[in-house]
Amino acid sequence: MAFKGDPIQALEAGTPQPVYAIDGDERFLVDEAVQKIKRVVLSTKAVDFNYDAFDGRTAFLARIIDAAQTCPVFADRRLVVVTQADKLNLDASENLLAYLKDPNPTSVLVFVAARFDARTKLYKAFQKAGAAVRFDRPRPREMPDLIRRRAQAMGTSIEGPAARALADAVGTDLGGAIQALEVLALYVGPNSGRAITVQDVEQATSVTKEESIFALVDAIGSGDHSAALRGLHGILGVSREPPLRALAMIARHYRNLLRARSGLDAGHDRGEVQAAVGVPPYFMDGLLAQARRVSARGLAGGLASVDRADRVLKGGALEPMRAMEQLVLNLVRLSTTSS
Amino acid sequence: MELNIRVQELTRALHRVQGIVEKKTTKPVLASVLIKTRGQDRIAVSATDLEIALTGDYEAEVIKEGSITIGAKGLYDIVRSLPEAHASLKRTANNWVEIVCGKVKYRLVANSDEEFPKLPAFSDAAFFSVDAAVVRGMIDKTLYAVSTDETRYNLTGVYCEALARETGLRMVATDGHRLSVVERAMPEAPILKEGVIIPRKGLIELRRILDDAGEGARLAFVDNSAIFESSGLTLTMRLVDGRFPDYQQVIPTAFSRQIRLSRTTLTQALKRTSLLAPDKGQGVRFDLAENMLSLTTNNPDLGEAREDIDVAYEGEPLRIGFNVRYVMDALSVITEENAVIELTDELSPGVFYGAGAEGYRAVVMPMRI
Repeated sequence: MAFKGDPIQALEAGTPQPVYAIDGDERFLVDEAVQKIKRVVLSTKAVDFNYDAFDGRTAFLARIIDAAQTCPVFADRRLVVVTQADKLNLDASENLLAYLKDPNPTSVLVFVAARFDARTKLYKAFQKAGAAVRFDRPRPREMPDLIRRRAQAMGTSIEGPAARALADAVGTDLGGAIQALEVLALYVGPNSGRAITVQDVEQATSVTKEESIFALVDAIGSGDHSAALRGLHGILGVSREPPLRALAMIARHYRNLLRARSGLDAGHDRGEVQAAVGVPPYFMDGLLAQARRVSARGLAGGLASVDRADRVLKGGALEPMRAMEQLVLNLVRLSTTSS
Repeated sequence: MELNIRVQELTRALHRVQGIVEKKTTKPVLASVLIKTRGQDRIAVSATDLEIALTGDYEAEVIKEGSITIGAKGLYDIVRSLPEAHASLKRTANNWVEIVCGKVKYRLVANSDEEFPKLPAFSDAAFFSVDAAVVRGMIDKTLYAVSTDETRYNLTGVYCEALARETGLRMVATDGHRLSVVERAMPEAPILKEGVIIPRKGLIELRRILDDAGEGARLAFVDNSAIFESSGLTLTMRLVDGRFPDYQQVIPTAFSRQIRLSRTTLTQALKRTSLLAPDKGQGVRFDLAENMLSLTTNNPDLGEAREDIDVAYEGEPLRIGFNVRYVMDALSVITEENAVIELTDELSPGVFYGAGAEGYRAVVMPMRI
């Protein structure tokens, strides 16, 4: 994750760089960086005459370079932003390489993508120009500190245990954490002078359920006991989901994984698998990655464990949190032995 | 509904709506045309994409009143291939339509007119007269500069405003890299309190029907729509809901260099030099010296092109780059034989217009070559 000394932070100090390549898993920070560049580069005057936006899936590279070579109008700089830049047709990439060697000083050219291939000559050219910025998801242990710093930047403060509780709730989703912090700052009141507490986090935040289940199953799939249990506590504790509802969400996710895995085993392509599973397209990458990690037999075993947990919960044989913890540990064991 | 009509008249009616009907739409009715009888000797033919609506009045012999909605493209293809001069249209049970022309008979699937969107009616619109040829010329001089980038919706149309000091209309278009502004006198003062943006597609359709417009053309702006009426045609265009940028600030009010030259010579020289411009990137360098303009393009893969042309210029040398397409677009709508280019320095916009012509200016931003 890029923070200290990165080119985006350097924007605050003064002159923007003529080129940027921004990517990473943490979409919130990627978008925030682009917005920051826009704020700094575009003056309030003649914005419409000095801003070009291209979609890398349909744009021609030559047009992009032409736009970057065009002089600004009654402003210091022109801003050219290319989204989905990793999908750009780079048949004439030497023209872009030539531009990167000698960029127009009165333009700021920003390439934005989910992830650039760092091995390419082009990305290396961006790196050489000191313009490559990658915002990867932070590690779980970094989250409480990042949450505290973000709270401070927003003009509020959060107690240590509250930052940890929020981190448990959102996992490594920094964008989700920042949205929750904005709600919490309003909840405690802008002029209350008090820090956000664990009670505030419990009362005023809701974890994105699909994200949380995804994170939990990711942790299960990777055999990470502690992350899985932390995810479970986030769902049951901070989000206060009833255990049976959490169980239903886990069961649904496992059924989807099993359908996806069966589709993959049958040689179906991504579109066919998506049609069979019936989830939105943006979930497919994660779902397929999880489905590939565990065998169909392992997933069927997981569903059987869910069924047993259902009976335990409804029969009252175990305290709900213990029953769910037992289920999660069972699923972790199954995933590590059946992958 | 049953009617007889001249094939040529029906072909003309269907041809006019082809640009409006949606080819790729989730609402099939938007790919249809509504044919409705009007009294005993006329029919109205309408189409809409919900942004633009066109209704035309055409001669026909109405045997039985009624209406029908039918696929516009298919019907047009059929009608224009009919062998005789006259045809009959008849709506039969279950919304089938029979077309008979000589020995040719078609039986087509159609729909009830109930599914066709209700077209806007502006009975209280305050129209003002316009000269169709003048409006056509204004559209020609601005349409090329309209942005095609749908994400910049406020630039996807031509901005229209009434002239403050005289009875006239001003049209402005820009895509952020070039700007075109044209002012023309009108027979009547435009009834337009503030500027509006007419969408590009609407202007393309307006431009088409202006070719057929005769005397009595008139225009009105009501709420969020512009309405044009002429020769039995009514075109309604939903205006772009956006704020047009302050265009005045990008039109240079002063210049330090003025060049006079033959528009045709410059256009042909640009065509020749741009043959070596990089693929789809079309920068051309202007080197200005006393009574001489040199155009140069450089393509690392192909080589270099240079052409010198005689111009009327007395001043300091200047080197400046332009996108050749933008310059050629600006020149293509100048009707005068000689053109004028006004420049200040290599970073300031260039202004192009016809020598001796008033009311049209094309502003093109320079680029680094």
